[in-house]
Amino acid sequence: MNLAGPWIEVALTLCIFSFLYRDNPLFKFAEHLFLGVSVGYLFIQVVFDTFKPKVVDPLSQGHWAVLVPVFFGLLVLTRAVPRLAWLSRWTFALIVGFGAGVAIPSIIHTNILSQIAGTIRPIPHRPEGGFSTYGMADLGTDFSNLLVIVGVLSVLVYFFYSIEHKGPIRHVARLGTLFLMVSFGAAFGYTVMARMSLLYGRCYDLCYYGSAAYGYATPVLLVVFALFLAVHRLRGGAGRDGSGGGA
Amino acid sequence: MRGLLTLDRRWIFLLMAVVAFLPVLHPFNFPGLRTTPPVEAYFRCIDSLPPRAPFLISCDFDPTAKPELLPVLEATLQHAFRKDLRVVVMNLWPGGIGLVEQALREASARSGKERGRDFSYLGWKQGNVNVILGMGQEIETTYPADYYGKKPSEQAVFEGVRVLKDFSLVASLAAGDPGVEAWIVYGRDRPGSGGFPLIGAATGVMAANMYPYLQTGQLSGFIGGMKGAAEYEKLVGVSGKASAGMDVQSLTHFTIIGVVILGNLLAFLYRKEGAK
Repeated sequence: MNLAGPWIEVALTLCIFSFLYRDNPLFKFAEHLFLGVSVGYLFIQVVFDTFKPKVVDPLSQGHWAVLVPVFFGLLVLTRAVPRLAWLSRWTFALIVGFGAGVAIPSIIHTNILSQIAGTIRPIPHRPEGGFSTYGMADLGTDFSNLLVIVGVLSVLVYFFYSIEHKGPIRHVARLGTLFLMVSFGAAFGYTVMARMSLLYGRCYDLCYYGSAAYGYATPVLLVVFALFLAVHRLRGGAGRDGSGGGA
Repeated sequence: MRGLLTLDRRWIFLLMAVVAFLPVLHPFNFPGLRTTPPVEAYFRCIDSLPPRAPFLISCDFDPTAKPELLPVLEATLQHAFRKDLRVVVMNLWPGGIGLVEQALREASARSGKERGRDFSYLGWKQGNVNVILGMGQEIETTYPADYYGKKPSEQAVFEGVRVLKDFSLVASLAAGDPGVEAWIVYGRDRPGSGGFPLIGAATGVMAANMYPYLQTGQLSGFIGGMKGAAEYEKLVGVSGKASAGMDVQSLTHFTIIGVVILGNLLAFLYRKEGAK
């Protein structure tokens, strides 16, 4: 069994978690390693998955048309030479023009027109191909559709600043605030769950690799790192890190 | 009690660590996980496909989202292979290549599926949303070869599949952008796309933003965060890491709620005392 992978994973996880105690060289090492590996990994992927098949291979087969996008790509590098930097605008003009042309109609369709259509639903709701039976499900759908309309309108009123929020407008805007709070609460609740999921992922791996099959990687490295941090602190390392207190 | 208000936050970290580790070491198996309509719809979309229907899974995540989205991918693959679908997997994020390839390799081996005939792995291509746009015009132009260097047109799994709309179903498992929203904007809703059925799964951080797309029908089914993943595992009938993680979720949430209530109570109590 290859033990290197699990030991490296446990070591790096503990290095990152050590920041919860205080800033220290173990954390800095893992942080810098992560950045370096990420950039290196992406670079290799781009070279072998994009540059080679999209530029090198076509050129070696005599497809010279590839030189046109390559030329515009190289123009971006003229940013490094102030006297020629204006040339890069040609490329950016192409990128912005293409991006806007593609994105604007699609985003308007997806995020505005379709959402308006999704907001305005018939009440009472009629199931496909028949009359509403007004069973519980239909009542639930009607209530939901009504809630969406009330929510959208009240939130829009809250963000409507052309008239002062007084009288009935103030009440509607206040209702909009409540809808916003519920929305933020739902988003925050989901975010907490996501963070706990990440914690679970690390805990699971640390426990899994702490078994005899993996040479007790977690307890061994935990003791080693704890000793390192203790020695580092005793030698006054905390001051050199510029980290007087906790995380 | 007043000392709790100035408690070093590292004690809270330690408490959370203990609470998170306990269920991993000794699972409690809390009962009561109920499935929700968006996850049931995700399940139904796959379950209702006829055998040999082409199904595209776009894995738009990297190892940072592994605890939330890898269980969804594993359960989706198991579900799709059990239904004998033709599965095509791809990445919009370069960091997920190794993770996804390993999951696909293991799931296909367990189900006895053959590469090229029952499934294909396209890998990752630079270009973000341009990859989706390109696939909407012609898949083989965007992906001249799959991850292992074989042309899509030479694989039985791509029979009758030339562009995106030829897939019976598309799923995006996303941890950010490009992800589910990009697939809606530049894939499903793009003029000429044919409006193929799209389902999605997302990390908890972005899950709340996906529900408007369910309301409009732009998404046919949705799995949000680890809880959604656990629900889907229950529907598929597998006991995966998401189901196991629900013990940790429950305990850590109880702890957070407890700490928040206690902190607020103490702050309220001593603020009043201070005012006197």
